[in-house]
Amino acid sequence: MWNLVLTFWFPEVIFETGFLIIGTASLAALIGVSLGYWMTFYHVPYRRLFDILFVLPLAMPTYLLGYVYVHMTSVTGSISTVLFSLFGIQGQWIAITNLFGAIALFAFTLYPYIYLATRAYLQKQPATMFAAAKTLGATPLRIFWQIVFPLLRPALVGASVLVMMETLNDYGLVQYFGLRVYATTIFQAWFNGNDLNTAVRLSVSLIVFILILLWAETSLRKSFKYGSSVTQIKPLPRMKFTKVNGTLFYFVGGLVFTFALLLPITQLIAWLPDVPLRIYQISFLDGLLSSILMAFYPTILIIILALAIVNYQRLYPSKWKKWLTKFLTIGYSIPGAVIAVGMVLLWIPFDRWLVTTFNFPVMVVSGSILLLLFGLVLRFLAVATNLIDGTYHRLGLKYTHASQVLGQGEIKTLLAVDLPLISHGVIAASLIVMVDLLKELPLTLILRPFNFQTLATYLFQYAGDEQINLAAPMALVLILLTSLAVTFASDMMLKVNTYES
Amino acid sequence: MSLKLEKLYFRYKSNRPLIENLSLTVPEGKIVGITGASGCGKSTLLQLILGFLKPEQGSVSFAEQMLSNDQTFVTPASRHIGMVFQDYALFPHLTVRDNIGFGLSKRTSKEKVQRIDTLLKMFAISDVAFSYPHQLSGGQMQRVAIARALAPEPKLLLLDEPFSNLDQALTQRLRAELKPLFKSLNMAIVLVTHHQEDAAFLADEIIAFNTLMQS
Repeated sequence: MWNLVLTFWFPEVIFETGFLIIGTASLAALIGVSLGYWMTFYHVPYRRLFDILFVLPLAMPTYLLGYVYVHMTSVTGSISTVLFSLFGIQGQWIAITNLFGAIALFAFTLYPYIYLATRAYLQKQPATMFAAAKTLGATPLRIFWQIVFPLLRPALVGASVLVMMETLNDYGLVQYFGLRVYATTIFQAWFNGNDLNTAVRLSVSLIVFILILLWAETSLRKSFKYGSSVTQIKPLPRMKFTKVNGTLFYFVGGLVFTFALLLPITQLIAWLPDVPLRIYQISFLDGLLSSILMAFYPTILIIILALAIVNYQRLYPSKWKKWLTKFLTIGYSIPGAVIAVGMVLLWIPFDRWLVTTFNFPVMVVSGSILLLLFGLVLRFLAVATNLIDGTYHRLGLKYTHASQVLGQGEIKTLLAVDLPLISHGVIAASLIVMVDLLKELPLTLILRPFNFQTLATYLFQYAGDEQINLAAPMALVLILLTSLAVTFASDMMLKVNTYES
Repeated sequence: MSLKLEKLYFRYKSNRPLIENLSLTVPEGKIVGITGASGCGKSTLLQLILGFLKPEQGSVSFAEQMLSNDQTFVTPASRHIGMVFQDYALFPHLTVRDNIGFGLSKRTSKEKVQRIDTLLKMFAISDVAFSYPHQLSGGQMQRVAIARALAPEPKLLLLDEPFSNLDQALTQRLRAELKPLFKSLNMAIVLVTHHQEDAAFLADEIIAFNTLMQS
């Protein structure tokens, strides 16, 4: 099958994957940078509300958005019906199951990464620099293009690569839209073609592709980086919206809010009355319980591991530990489908060895939930490690050293000094990992034990059966859980600075 | 009970050595002031004594106990050295009482309470016992930091630029208050500062950092 893939599919896979990730990153950058710029430089009423609203699309699984919009834009869908009754437009007028549709939906749910990076970076820039530009007669537009944008580039490159990685990881949407990208081809080779060998080769080529992307990111960030020329950084004074800027802000913000949250959630609520009771009795409770368990236990394990790794590297720094941490960080860049391939390659021989050597009656790891647990920990460990490392970095070593000098060991210091001081960062990391785990689809689909269904896999199943309307309760409760977690996480992140130097 | 540093050698990664062939003895009851410009390696020396850094060569010992050489390394938590950090490093989530009592976890609660009360009185900070560090003035923070360092009754006290965050008037007042206290403790004390004046006022002996490496 490898020859077939290489000859006929490979060029298409490369083109569609490349087009998808570059298109998504570009559109997400356009939305994220614009909203981030307006929120930083202009007076926006109800700022806290907008801050939450602009981050909230992170809570929306992209595949769910795809399932709902395909239904809404079908001949009998709500959008088509409304357009017909209002304007007389008939038939399936928008074909969204293509690369452009996918790019739009990915950008709507992933732009918050760029928005957050833009806000964080611009807030650290000295206000005097922008004041100097103004006194030299620069217009806001010129300030944006000649000062803000060049300064923003390192942060923008980092966040755009994160958006690309998230896009590469998706399976639910690209599969539903029938796109020939890496994730779908790996699944197809493995499950439809029953050819694990081809899936492995595709995975390896994808890892090479990712490593090139990460290398490009590092080089670009280095070449774009400027040192600060001032030592005192004062908060930026905000400007009043001009007519054009104000209109554009509300238009872009409104567009994103409407398409990423309002329309799909309204549609899901509208489907609720028609959902039969059996769905609540069987799928809903089962999926909810599994999702909560699959979000809770791996999160605890991931946070404990991340705290141990970060502390070990921070208290006893060495080059190889730094590389180990970097290696673990790559885990997040590797799509779920590829991690699944790796898990199977790693654990099935181990299980076979247990069966043949010790006469184990069952495949201990690969037949159980353990395999999924390992995969999820490997995939999301980097999220927690990065966030906790960042929080620790801002706190410094002084309190830890003070505690040790006073005779306290590492565990007591961690529990009595470090954890209370970084608790907001740890809670934010836990919530963000939980959001990722609740939305996770490809790893769960491959590694779950027989008959194990989460809210996400139920959505995948119902969408595949063209019955996404019946999965409305599952979708809504999933959005509710992830939205609460995203809101609390962003709140915690704002509080993080209390004790930090 | 004296602190002995013998032929210490230390460098960060592959940079040129910051500390080379450094030897120093601080006997019990003596206050030694080490002076030198910022960045010359004074704070690094304290880190080596505390055990946060490991010397490439040489040894650190106190009261005839080897703390670090090429065979032995005692962790910072087991060295029983009192330390006053430059920016005090008071735990922001703990009250003054809890900060002072932090190093007394091995004592009974009664002993702990007694020791804390004694120190609160000694440093005239009883009125802020239940305040948090951010509610204190610079002078109060400094007193709490010293009280916390002395609480476990160490035999060696290190002070890293203890007055650098205070204005001149307060520095003068605190120095005058602390001198008789330090003398009464009869400990080995190392004061590291780039202010000659502080060292001249408090220390029995002043040593320029650079001369330590020629001995």
